[in-house]
Amino acid sequence: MKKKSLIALFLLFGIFLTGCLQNNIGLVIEKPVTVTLWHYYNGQQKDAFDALIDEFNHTEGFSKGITVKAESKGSIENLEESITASAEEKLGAEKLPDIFSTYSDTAIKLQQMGLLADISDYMTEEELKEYNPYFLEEGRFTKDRLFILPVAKATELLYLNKTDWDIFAEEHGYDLSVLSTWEGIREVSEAYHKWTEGKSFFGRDAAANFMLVGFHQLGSDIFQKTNDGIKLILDENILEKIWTSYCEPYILGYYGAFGRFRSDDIKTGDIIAAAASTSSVSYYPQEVTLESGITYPIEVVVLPLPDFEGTKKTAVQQGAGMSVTKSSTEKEKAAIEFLKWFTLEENNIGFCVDSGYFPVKTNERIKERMKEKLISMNIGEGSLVYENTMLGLESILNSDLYAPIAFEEGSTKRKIITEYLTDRLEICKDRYNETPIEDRAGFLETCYKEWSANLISELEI
Amino acid sequence: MTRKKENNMDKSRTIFKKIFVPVLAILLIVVGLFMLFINSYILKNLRTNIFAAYEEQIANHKNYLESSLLRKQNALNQGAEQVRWKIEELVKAKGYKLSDIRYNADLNQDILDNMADSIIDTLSISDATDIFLILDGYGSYDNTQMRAGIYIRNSEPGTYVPNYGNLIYERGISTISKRLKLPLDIYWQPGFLFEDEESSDFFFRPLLKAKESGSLNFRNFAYWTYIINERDFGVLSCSVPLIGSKGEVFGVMGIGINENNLMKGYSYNGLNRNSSRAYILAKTTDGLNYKPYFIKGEYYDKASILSQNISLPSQSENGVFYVNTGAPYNDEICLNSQELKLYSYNGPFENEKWALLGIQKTDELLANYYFVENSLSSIMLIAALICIVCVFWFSRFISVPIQQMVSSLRKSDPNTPIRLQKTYIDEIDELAESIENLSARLSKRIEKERDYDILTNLLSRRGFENRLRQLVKRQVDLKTGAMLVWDLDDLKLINDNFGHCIGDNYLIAFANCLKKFNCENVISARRSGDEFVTFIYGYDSIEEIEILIEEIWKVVNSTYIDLSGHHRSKISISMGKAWYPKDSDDFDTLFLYADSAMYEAKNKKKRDLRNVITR
Repeated sequence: MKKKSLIALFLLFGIFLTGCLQNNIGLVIEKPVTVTLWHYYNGQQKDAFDALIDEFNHTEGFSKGITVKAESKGSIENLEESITASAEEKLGAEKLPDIFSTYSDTAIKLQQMGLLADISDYMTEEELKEYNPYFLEEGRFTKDRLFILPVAKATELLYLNKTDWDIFAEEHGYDLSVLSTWEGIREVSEAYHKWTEGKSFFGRDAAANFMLVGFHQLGSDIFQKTNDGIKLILDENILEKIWTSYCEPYILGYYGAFGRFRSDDIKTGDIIAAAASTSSVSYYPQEVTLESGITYPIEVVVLPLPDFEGTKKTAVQQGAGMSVTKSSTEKEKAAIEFLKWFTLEENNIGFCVDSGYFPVKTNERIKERMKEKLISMNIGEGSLVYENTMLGLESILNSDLYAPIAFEEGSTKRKIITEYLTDRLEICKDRYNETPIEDRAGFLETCYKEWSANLISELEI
Repeated sequence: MTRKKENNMDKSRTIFKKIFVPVLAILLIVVGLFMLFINSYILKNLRTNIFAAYEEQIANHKNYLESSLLRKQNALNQGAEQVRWKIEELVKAKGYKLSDIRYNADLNQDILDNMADSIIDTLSISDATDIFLILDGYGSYDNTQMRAGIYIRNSEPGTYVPNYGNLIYERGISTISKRLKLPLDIYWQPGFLFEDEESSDFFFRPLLKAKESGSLNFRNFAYWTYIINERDFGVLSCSVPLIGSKGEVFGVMGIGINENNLMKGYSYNGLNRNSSRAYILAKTTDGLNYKPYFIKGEYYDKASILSQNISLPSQSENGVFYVNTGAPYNDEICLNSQELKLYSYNGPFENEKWALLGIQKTDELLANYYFVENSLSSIMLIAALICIVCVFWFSRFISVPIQQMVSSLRKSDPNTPIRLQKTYIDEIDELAESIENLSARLSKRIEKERDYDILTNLLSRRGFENRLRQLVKRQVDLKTGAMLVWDLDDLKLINDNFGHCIGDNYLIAFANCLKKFNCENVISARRSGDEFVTFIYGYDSIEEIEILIEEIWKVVNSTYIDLSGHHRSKISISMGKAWYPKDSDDFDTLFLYADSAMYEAKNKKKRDLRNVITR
């Protein structure tokens, strides 16, 4: 008996010593996973996104052995180009990342190539229910499967250099209500052009949206789902309306696009009103700097995006979601872990407030939560960022949300529309300016015919 | 007597002490030696190795940073070389001189517009985050304080992004940004406004040094410094003056690496939030006082570390300095400094050295050391305690049974054989057995010496009485018995005439006669000198006993002893007897009767030798 208890005593002591010798310095993570991510955020968005990735890598990621390495491709066009090149294994293309920002057009292409992981395999119904179902819809190419997880959404609003506007408006007897319709914008722009002897009043980022949302708002989408697939349905009347509301004033110099973004044009004093994404809010300056180096302070205000007279309020929902490429289960799981963390309400709201985006888990209290966040960041009522957030959220929650229909050629067609609303118009503008004044009215007519015919033929599916 | 005992006590120790004290002493010496070995060799080496590994890690980071910065500087040099020639040619082609740059804003805008692509190429080749070209001349006629220049930032260095998608236009005329479709930064300005020379040293230092020197080799004036931009974002910049072929210094070109990209390769695992490890890029002129500009690490707040200068003490341990972080942390940290060799010898900025400082909280860096030290001390202490307990226990294991044995020996009855408890220690048990055997033998001998007459080997008087008492005690049925008292005649005469030896033989001869009848029912003893006693019991009648007595007499009468020479003598003896229980059932009374009868017989014998008186 004594012997037995002695042995037990020694064993216990041995266990105690072993316990003592095991130190807990450093966390040993078995099989750490590195997840690559490509996005298109730039400037302020990129800073906010990088900060969030850093936060993830040091907290959740660190404890779960996941490191996210993010890379910006500068713009959605560049990103789509890189993704497509990688998917098609083009010479010199990089390896596909584990996660990438994407709209449905690109994602559907990759999904058809069998390159995308089904996100719903890694998320429960309960988890998915938290997301705005309308946003999720974009990634459901086939029933019950999910290929894009929405991460942040944006819409478009009207940004106005109110300092310069006030001087102009006072002289012409305009008030801000005139800026609530495209017709009003055109009218004001014309007056401004004359008043400034040739300066543009208005400019637009994402010019294709004008046509896509315009057609939708005016009653007939350009691309429609039919029994035979996606069809181009170009209502001539609507197209003409688009021409007169955007293209014509552009050629006439009432509207313009000078720098990379319209916020740049407001900064350089080239325009005073811009329709742009809510995510561009941080780029609106507090002063205009002229080429001569002269600067003067301005106040930029945000207004709802104008509509066509007599149409229902429509908001474009943009902001790419994220897709996960097929790889090993560990990598896919790690990628989804990051996306789940990124779309957690507190992280998502933090990123959105920093970057002018809106959270993807929209619920009743989201407005209040965003208000709290803004106030905690000392961003008070009346400031551009505050108003941008509230107005944008209002627009997303209470408008007819428009998202382009997803189809394989969607992004190509969008590029064509963009080209016809930017570069082609620039050419027309140059030609118009070279045309003798007496011939200009005729030129515009010819120009429209040429422009619309070419556009229709190029958009044909 | 007492003192003597005490002295003995001093000299002699208990077994417990004999075992416990020396073993304990040996143990303490071993522990002491082991601790000395651990302290002087293992722990010292461990500490040195930790510091060496720490220094090596920082040196590796320094080497990586140094080579990366020098690569960038090299790319800048190549870019600047091309740009200065291009500008010189352009100025010449336009019919101006380089000195016209000073006041000709139009010329300057033209130069910048023409140089923008080369600048972007250099930015991309150098892998830097920032690039700038500043002309030492008007940027605008409306604001003559503004110098002409461009500054472009790359948000994603090291990766290819088409259409300048990763570039942000920080400074420069908007015609360039519009042409190249570069997005303007929120803090964009069309040129450079310098408040003073000190805060804009990235422009003025290389420019003025080059002007002073008159040298044509712009590389010698490469200057590394710190720029803080409007985003409160630190940038490490390297700038070189642009020098024309005739020595005209007309501008500065430089690259920058922002703080996010400066020490980007430093792993997350090495710099996680649980670790206080941080790397600081600092400037020093004397190698002792450092002005920190960049910090990489998660534990310390950037602003609190960068806001105060670092002064190193004169003493270091293996290249590591113990420094206090100051408020609000007040941590003692281990600091190792590694100088970056960014400048050539005898260059104008050679004394303004940059150094990479590695810092980590002392107790964290030495955590393994402290762990080993504490563990070893604890293990040694626990082991020593266990040994002490074991030695104590084993000493007790041996000494206690011995003490118990001594104690039971002390308490034992010397007349009875000793029984000792088993200790299960062979040697002690053997000792105990020997003691027991000895005691048993001794007890037998004592009993014999007490109860038997040494000369005749008959029972002594005491032995006889014991036997009678035992009979009573055992309640033996004595039936009819007889007490016989014998007294040898003439013993004194024989002793006197033939010596005590013959006298003894006389006594032995009679005793042998009695012995012949010794059996269960006959007890004989030598009572004293020449007096013997016999008790016969267990017979059914006096007659039977009489027959036995007659038998005894026959034997006695037929026994002779040798006196001397050829003389023999018969045994002459007187006997008295008393009957049990007829005369008395009390042994003492019975003896008295028999004794009286013997004396009577002796007296009568003097008259008639063979007459016995019977009561």
